[in-house]
Formats: sequence, structure tokens, C-alpha cells
Amino acid sequence: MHSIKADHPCTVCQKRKVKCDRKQPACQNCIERDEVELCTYDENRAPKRSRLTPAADKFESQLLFLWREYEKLWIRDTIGQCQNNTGPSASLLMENFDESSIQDFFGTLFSKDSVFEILDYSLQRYGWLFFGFFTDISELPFKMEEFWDDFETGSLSTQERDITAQQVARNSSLDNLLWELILRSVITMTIYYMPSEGLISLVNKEALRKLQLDHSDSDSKSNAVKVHYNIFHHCLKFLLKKILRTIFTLPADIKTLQIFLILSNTSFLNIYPSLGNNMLVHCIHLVKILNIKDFKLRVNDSAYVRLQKLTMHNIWFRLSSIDYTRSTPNKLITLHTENSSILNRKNLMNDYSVDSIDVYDVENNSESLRWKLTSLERDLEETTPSLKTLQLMKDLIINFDERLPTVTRKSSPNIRFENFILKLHCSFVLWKVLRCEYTQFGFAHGLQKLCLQTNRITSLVSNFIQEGFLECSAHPLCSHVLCVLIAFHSFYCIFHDSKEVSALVDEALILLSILSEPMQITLNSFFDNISRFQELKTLWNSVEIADQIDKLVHPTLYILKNDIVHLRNNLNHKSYLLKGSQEEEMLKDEQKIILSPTVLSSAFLEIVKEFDLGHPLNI
Amino acid sequence: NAHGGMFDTELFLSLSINIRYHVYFFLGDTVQKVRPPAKSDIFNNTVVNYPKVEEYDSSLAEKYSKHVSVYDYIPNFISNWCCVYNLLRHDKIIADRLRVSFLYEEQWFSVQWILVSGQLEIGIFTADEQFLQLSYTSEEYCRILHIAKHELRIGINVSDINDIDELCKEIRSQWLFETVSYISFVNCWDMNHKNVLSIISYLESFNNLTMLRVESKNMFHNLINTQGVRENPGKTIVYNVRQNVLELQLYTLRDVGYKAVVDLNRWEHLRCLLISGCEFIDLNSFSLPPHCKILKLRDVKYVVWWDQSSLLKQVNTQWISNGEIKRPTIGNDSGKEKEEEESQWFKLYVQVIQTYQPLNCIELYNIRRVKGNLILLKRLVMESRIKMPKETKLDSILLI
Repeated sequence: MHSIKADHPCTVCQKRKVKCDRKQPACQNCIERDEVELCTYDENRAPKRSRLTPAADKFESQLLFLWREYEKLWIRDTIGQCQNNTGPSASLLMENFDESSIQDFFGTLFSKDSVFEILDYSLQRYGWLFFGFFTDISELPFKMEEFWDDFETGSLSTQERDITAQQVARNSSLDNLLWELILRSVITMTIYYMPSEGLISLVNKEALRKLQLDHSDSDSKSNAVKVHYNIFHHCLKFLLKKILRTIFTLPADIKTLQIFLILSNTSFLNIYPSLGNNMLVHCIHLVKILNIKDFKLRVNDSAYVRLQKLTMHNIWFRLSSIDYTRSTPNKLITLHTENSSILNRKNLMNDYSVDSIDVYDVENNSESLRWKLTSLERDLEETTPSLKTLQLMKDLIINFDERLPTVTRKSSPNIRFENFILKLHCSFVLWKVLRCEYTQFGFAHGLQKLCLQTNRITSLVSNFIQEGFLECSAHPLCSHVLCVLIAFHSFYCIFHDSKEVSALVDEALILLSILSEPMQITLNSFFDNISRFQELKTLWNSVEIADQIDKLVHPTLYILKNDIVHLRNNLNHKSYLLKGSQEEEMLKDEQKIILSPTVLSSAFLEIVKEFDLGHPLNI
Repeated sequence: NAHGGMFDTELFLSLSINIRYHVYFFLGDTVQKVRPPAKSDIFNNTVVNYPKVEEYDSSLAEKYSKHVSVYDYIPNFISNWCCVYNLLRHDKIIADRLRVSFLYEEQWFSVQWILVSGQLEIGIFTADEQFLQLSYTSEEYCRILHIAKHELRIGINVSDINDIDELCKEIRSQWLFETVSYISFVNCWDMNHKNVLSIISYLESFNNLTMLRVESKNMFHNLINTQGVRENPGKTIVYNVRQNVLELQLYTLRDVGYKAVVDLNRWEHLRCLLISGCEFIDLNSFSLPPHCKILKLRDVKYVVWWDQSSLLKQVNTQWISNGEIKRPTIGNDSGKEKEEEESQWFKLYVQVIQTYQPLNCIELYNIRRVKGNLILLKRLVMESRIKMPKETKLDSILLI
């Protein structure tokens, strides 16, 4: 029999990815499977793909471009930035600072002895979080003693009084007032980082019950953790009340900065985002009023002036780092732009003002190292780095990483904690560089390298936890890093079947859930959305678009693009102004048009609608 | 590929960019076999024998005669050059090399505007001898790099090969001023040359001009060094242009700062200074603007380091250990004396910083001799912001 051969395999064989003998009217495979009627040769099919067709590449790069935007809007701008309607932030707002609603934690929850114990613990283990902001740290216990003397004699009673009138009048107590706030914030911060069991043993049980922080009487471990963070929230709330009533009414004082920086080590900025941002803006103003920027050493500085300058240096760089991580559409006043980039690239030189601080002109310490890392992160996110820049970044990070002091099990917990955070930051920035190489330039083995780095980070965190530092891993950086890792890899898993990557995601998810308790409020929505990604994966696999060659037109991608619009809308303050007016509708219509340039079939939209109803985006 | 041993272009181009980058890195600026001998080979007797070529496009030789006719003393040079020229223009690999070098911001080639029979073209030159290897029209070049025309960043050479006045006129007529990012004065030392005069009159129009390069002492003293320069309209670079310049490159100056002050203070926004191919440099005579953070020295025979002898006298010998001036540690029970000592150390330290100000990045490369007892800042050396090559002869180094 003489048969005509087609110039490409039949559609069935193509789908099954088997070798087709291209015989017409039906190929051998189809005949054997008794599906002769299905065997067709589609003439209009896409041209044969070579090893690296531009089309396939384009799809990948567009996906990853989409992700860049998604991540920025979701993880950076939305998580921990939007005022939640539930959780303590709302209750703080609603209460409207009702005087009697929150009781002092000094004297009730914690006796004088236990407060001193907490302070001791703090000085021993968490020094690096705040030592740099004080010229003389030994003042702290001394001031604490002074405070308790006043406290017990009743000059500062637990009963709320009008502070401004009585105390500000006496000039001496202005200082005391701020010192009290500093001490309280140190204690609150330490409560955040203390082991649950240890903390609860210090607490006055009676008061705990009275304040209704203890929900159940069972002594299970998870309950202890819950109680722990309830105590923390309570203390934080009380402290914030006190802070808000004082700092804005006082003359500019460096102590306000210290208070803010001490608190920013906790989940404070995540629980009270808008409040945190506003305080941060206040701090930025203070920095400028107090001229903190002037910390370059001069020849005839005395020892005391040197110490003071070092303190200012530390405050400046810590504040810059925090400021960068908090710059979102909700906070547009920035400080970090006054530091220049640490890279000598031409395109980066022009971006920052000439008076900006070059970190290489000042001393090296861990605060400036943190800023250097943050600055690299900034260069990565805000500009599109060239390959050369990426190479330089990698070299720099490896240099930083190598110069981190080696720690052993014998080193003090304080040093180990600090070292862990710096190491984590280093590896995270390196991860971002690797991701940029992979997503934007398609480096060879880019994904493998990235996964290796992810693995390194997760094992770094899990080792740290295993060494008995579970509470320390409540540092906000820790959960942020894990969120970014998980989100990126889950996104990758939607479109690609990779056991390795999904194993990585699972591992990281377990880790994150271990340390999620302190960040519960912000992370709940994160977990929801991650599981939503899994639903998206089933959608991606189950729905096939028949008449589209362009893979980018798919319900899954449509939903993701829709999410971006939602997230952006959520951040858009203009929409509040336009609420109820016609223009709001117009704004919405506009976005819809952007989303669907071509008319989509009704079945397509049906799938999208069904999915959105079943799995709404949690923001 | 059917021919087993042949170079598979498709396979090579499907490799990822970092691999291709490393391959191109080793290829450097050589596009073809035909290139003039290096400056160092001029006095050798070795002459490369180019094969005789019968068929070639002789109109090319005519067209680019300005660039290649100098080399007609080498037998068969021009005919060989013409032979491959048109082929190379359409070479995929070369297009890819240009793209990779663009993405990596590498300066393997010197890319410049040239004027070929009245038309603007983009010439790809070798980096050192400035020999034209290839040229594209700007449309072709943009297509290769996948960028828009106004995103181009290329340079102009002020040398006898170019007629600057016509070149600038053509650039003006196409509104391509912003594509010019650097101007170099090559083989050019006469201030009154018509090319120099016309480029100076056009300088203000290049609003993206960030780098200037001079190659002769005369040009350096007339254009760059502002020591003792008076108003000299039409012959000096005006204020507006100086404000834009971020980088200065000085080549083959023989000596810099020998019994003369090098005052660059009027280049207020200068960030980077490169000096290359000098016999003698005295760093003490430099006066740098406040934002100049980077100094690069290359191929210099003799460098006189900043004079730190007065600082060395302040060093307490007890502080030194392992080539490092260590900060004296004071315990809790330290008296006034110890505190005094620490203050002295800090005083010294700040003075060391001040000798380098405003620099915080110094790169030395291929320096034969550095004179002076150096005190370097440890934190900058540790982060390789100060790079001292090992082969350089030094008196002594102390870190602080």
C-alpha cells in the first residue's frame, strides 16, 4: 500500500508525545489504539519548536515579569501594610484611646523583681537590637531603679493622669517621661523575644486572669505561646497609648528615635502598619531636626563626642534600613534616598543627591553592613540592574558573608542572634540576585542555583531554631524572607511540575508555620493565598484553551492579572476620594479594558468567575 | 550539523548568556584576523603575511579610506579587510557579541559615531589602536541591540580621521545629541586644530555627555586642569558641560603633577578619575572635587603616594602588630593615660582618612613602583575598595 506521509505528527501523537509514523489517513498508533477517527493532521499548527524558541522564552519571561509586579504589590506593599479590620490594630483604633480600657502592665502583670529579671535577660541576650542606639547602656538599669522608686512612691501612679499639664511643666520630668517610655519599650521588646515558658513563670497569674489574656487553662505548649503573644499585644497596646500621647507633644528628642527603633524589632510595624508609618515619618523629621546625619569623625573629637557620633551613625543606618523596607505607596516620605548606592555604577550615580551619605566614608559595623545589604536590595528592586551590576553585587555579598565573624556554640546568644540575622540577610539578598539572573537573563542552571540558595536559607533558619532560638526567629526579617521564598516557588509550581521545587515550598511552609505565631495576623492571609495558588495549579492543568496559540491567554493568568488590579486598587487612595462618584466607575471600567484587550469567550469568563467565587483573594 | 567538526552557530547561540559572556570575554576586541600591529609591535620586524585576495569590493577601500588607508604599507592588508568586511556585518555571532557586551556594560569595543561619505554610521573600533573593524548604520545597530535609537550611548573621537564639524552637523540634523555619552581626544594635541575648536563649540549640546578622555599633556593642561586658567572663551570647556561629566580618563600624559598642581575642583560632579600610561604621578599635587570617590591608576611607572610621614611619626610603636595599627583597648579600670592614648589613636586615624578624602576607592593596576610609606584604611582594604597589586614595589604598608 502506498500511503502519503504528512510532514508532521498527528494531533493525537503530539499530545501523547509519542513517535508518529505520519501515515495518512491514520497513523499506526491510532490504528492500534482503535481510534482511527481521532487521527487528524492539523495544518494550521504552530511551527516546529527548536531548542529555545523565542515564543517559549517569551512566555517564561512574561510570566516572571508578571510575578515581579505581583510580588511587589502583594508581599511588599500589602502584607503588613494594610490596616486589618480584625485583630488588635482595629481594636486600637476603635477604642479611641479610652482611658480605662487598658491597664498598665507594670505593677499588675509584672512585679518589680520580674521586670528587672526581664531587663537582665534583655541585656544578656538581645543587646545587639538596641545597644547601638545608646551612648551608655549601663544607664538603663540605673534609670529603671529610679523609675521604680518614683513609681512606688506614687508620683507616677498606675492611674492615668493628664501628663502634659503636670509633668511637662516640670522640666526635669520631661527626661524622665521619655526614659520611662524607653524602659517600657525595651521590656516590651524583650517580652516579644522571650521564651514563652520563662515569661509566663514571671507573670502574675492573678492579673493574667483578670485581664482575660489567658483563654484556656490547659497547659499545652501552643497555649503557652498564645498567652505569651497575648501578653505582648497587651503591653504593646498600653505602651503605644502612652507613646502617642507624649511624643508628638514634646520637643524634638533623640529618645523618640530610640523608642521607635527598639519597637521596630518586634512585629509592631506589621500589626499597626499605618501607625508605624506615621511614627516613622515623625522620626524622619526628627532625624533632620536633630541633624543626626553629622556623624563623620573629626580630628579633635573627644571620646564622648566619638561615642555620640557612633550612636548617631547607628541610628541613622538602622532607620534607613527600616525606612526602605517600609517604603510603599502608603508612605512616600523617605530617608533612605539620602544614602547613595554602594555600587559604583554610572546609572546609579545620578539617582541620589550629591549630598548623600556614602557608606564607605564612614566606619564599618554591623549597622552599616545591614544598610549595605538593604542598599543592594534597593538597587535590585528599584532599578533594572545590568548583568555587570549583578556580578558586582554577587562579589560584594560574598565578601560580606566571608567577613562575618564565625560563631561557635560557645559564643554568647547575643552574638549568635545578630550573626544569624546578618547571615540571613546576606543569603536573602544573594537569593534575590540569583533570581534576577534567572528570571531576567535566563542563566544556565539558574533555577537549580536559586533552589540551592532557597535550601540554604531554610536550613539556616531551621538550624537556628533547633539550636534553641525559636523565639529569636520571630524577628520580622525571618518571616519576610520565608514569605518571599514560598511565594515565588509556589508561583513557579503553578506552571511547572517540579517535585524538587514543591518539596522546597513544603519545607519552607512548615518552617513558616512554626514561627508564624507572633505574626499571625499578617500571615493568615498569606497562607490563604498560598493555598489559593495550589487551586490555581489545578485550574492551570485542567483547563485547556483550544483556539489560542498564545499561552498567556488562560484563565489562570487572567485571575493573576486580576489580582494585581485588585491589589493595586486596594492601595489606591484616590479611590477613597472618588468613593460613590461616577469617576470611580470609570476607573473600574478602565482597568477592565486593560485586562481584556481581546474579547474573551463566555466559557472563559465563566471559569474565572467560578474560581473567584470559590477562592477569593485574601487581602 | 552535517560537517561534524564545524562550529555550530545555532547551538552556541542557544547557550545561556553567562556562558557566552565568558567566551566573548576571551575574544576581547578582536573581530577578525585583519588588524594593524599593536603599538608595541611597530618596532619589531615581524610582519604578518596576509594571503593575496583577488576578488574584493574595492569600493569599500575607497569608502573607508580615511580609516584604513594608513595601513597600506602592510601588503594585502586592505584587500583582506575589504574581503571580510561585508560578511562580518551580517555575522550572527558578532551581533550577539555586541548585544552581550551591551547587557554587561562591557567596553570591549570602542563604539563611535563616524561619518562615511556623508552618512552617519556607528563604527566598532578596537579598544586600543582605535582601528575600524566594522560599521553599522544606526538602524541596524539598534535592531541588533533591541533598543530604541535614543537609548544609544556611544562616543565621538576627536582625531584627524574624523571631520568633527561635519559629523556634529549631521548629528544635529538627526537630533541625536543625547546618544553621545563620551568624547575622546585621540592623537590630538593642537588646541587650534579645527576639530578641537568645533567640538568645543558643540559640547554644550551633548546633554548626556558623562565621560571625557584626553590622550595628551597639552590637551590635559588646556581642557581638564583648571589650575590658573583664565576666561578663554571658545577654547575651554564651559561650566554646564563640566557639571555633567562624571568621569575623566587621562592617557599617556608622561607626568602628572610634577612641580605642578593638578586642580580638578571645577569638575564639581566628577565621580571617577582614571589615569593610564604615565611615567610619573605625584598624588600630593592633586586637588580633587568633593564627590570624586574613585581613582584608578593603570600602567604607571612611578607613583608618589600621599605624604604620610608626619602621620607615621605619631604612631606609637606599641600599637603595631601584624602590619596593623591597632586601636589600643581600654578596660573598665583604665585611667586618664589610657584614654589619652585612645584619643591619640583616633586623631591619627581621622588624619589618615583626611589624606585620602574624598576618595574611598583606589584601584592600582600594573604599577611598577609606589614611593612612600603607606598607611591604608583597613576597612577599605578589607572590602577591596583599595586594591594594591602584589607585583608593585612598595616601601611599607600599614593598615589602620
